[in-house]
Parts: sequence; C-alpha cells; structure tokens
Amino acid sequence: MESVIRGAAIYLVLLMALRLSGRRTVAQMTPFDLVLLLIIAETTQQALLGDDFSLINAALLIVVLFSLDIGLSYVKQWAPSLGRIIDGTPTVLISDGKPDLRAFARARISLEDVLTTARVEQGLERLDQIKSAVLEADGALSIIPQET
Amino acid sequence: MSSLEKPAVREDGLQLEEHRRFQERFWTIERFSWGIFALIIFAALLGAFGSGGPLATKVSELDAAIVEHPRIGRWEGTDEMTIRFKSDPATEAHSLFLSNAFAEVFQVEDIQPLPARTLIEGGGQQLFFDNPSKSGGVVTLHLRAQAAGPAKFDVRVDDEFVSLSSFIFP
Repeated sequence: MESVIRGAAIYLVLLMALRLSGRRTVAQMTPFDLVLLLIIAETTQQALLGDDFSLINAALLIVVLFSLDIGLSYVKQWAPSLGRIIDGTPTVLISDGKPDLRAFARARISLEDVLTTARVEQGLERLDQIKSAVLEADGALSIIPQET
Repeated sequence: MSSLEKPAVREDGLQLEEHRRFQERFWTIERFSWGIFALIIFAALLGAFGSGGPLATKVSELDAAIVEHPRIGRWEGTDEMTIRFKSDPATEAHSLFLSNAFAEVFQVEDIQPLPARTLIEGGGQQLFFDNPSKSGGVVTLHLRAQAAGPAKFDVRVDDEFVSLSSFIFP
C-alpha cells in the first residue's frame, strides 16, 4: 500500500511543481537547470523508495508510475480542458513577424532565446526573417521563417 | 474542442489553438504559486515542517525540569527530546515516565546518559537517573518517528505529569 501512495504522491507533487515553475524550466535548460534536475532526481528517488530497496518495491513503483501516466493520458483525451491544465498550451510569441512582448515577458522568454533557436534550427540571421515563433506546450521553441 | 478535432487556421497561417485567455489565467496562477513556494520556504525555515526551527520544538517548564520535545516531526526522521533536570539539594535521583502512546509514535534510538534502571508500568515505562551531586543535568533521547499524524502522550518528570503532543508529517 505504501509504495502505491508514495509513487502517486511524488508523481503529483512533481507534476504540480514542474507545471507551476513554468515551461522555461523544462525545455530551456541551462547548466544550472541540469544540476537542479539531477538534485530533484536524487531527492525523489529517496522519497519514492524510503528504506525499502527490495525488487518488489521497485517493480510496484514502476507499475504505479506507468499506470498514472497512462491514466492521465486518457483523462487528457476525455477532458481536453484538464489536458490544458496538465500539459499547457502553445503560446504564439511572434505572429506575422510582430513580437508579442507581453507573451515574451509572461513566458519569461527573451528575444535572444528566439534568435538563438532561429540560428540553430533554421539558420536565420535576423529577427525580420522570422514569420512566427511559438513556445510549444512542451517548452520547446518553434520558428517558422518568412517566405522568400 | 476534443483532442481529435483539427484546430482552426489562424490569420497568421498557424494551425493551432492558442487558448490565450487560459494561458493568461495560468500565468497569473503560476506567479501566485511562486508566492506560495516562498511562504512554504519561510514556514520551513521557522520549523513548521519539522527538522529544526523554532516552531519544531516545544519547551515545557516543569518544577523539576525543562522538557524540550519535537512538536513537529517527520516520519522516519530523527529528532531529540531533552530533559534538563534542575538542581535540587533534596534529590539524588530523577525519574522520567514515558507513556505507552509515546513508544507507539517514537522509537528511542539512544538515551544519553543511559538510565540507572528502567521499570515497566501499566501505562508506560519509567526511567531512573542517579544524580548524587544533586546539581541537575541533561538527559537526551534520540528519537525516530515511526507513525505519521497527530500524537498525544504523557510524560512525568519526578512527580509532575505533563501532556505533550506532536505532529508527524508523512
């Protein structure tokens, strides 16, 4: 019983903390974010297992975590509004070449972040070469270049 | 919109559902929750979740001793209970009674110094400490919480009873 409760509680706490900390934390990973992720992984491992290092405990936890994930994917399909809360929605940062500065500020994304992604993924040199930029629900930045 | 329906094509040519109002609300909730994160950290520094801090320990002053016990603890976490016996020229020995409810919540991992003898009673256990110098002294119980939730237990120092309570976080 304890393994199931531990697994579910940690899953929900992590889901809430990651979601509320903002998408920047997930996709725009700096070396500090990587350190944070490693510490979180170590902390949750201890909270999940406690003093019980048995195989059955590990197996039970894996089953619980996968089941929660599968269950949530069904919930998201049946109730898209809940899916938006859990996964988030895409945010258009640049539309038709015009940056939405409010969206940039609220999503804590800088123009430099967009320009970096544009250079890396599309080989673009300037902001005016970007038609659209979208902060995806998974935290990734998508860049659509202007048609030439 | 169901997850299998196609999103409409926007004026800028993007085929996506932005849900901007929802996103604006969520950004507000996000910032509000960061305030809650700060409050949680502040409360943790004060000891509201145990493991040190002024709120985590309660000090009870009795005639014969001052008892410090964990008011807030953590399941499977270590804590200390300290009994500071006051000097009493008329007493060469002190006794400490811990009710059964105490043993149900806390595992005593160590007692410093060890009691001279221990008695089992119907309602709990009594520990006796010799104090030939009559100058008082400190007894420290190193504890590990074994049950989560609220707990009430009785402690008797020499002849004086005190009811104590702890909350153990799961």
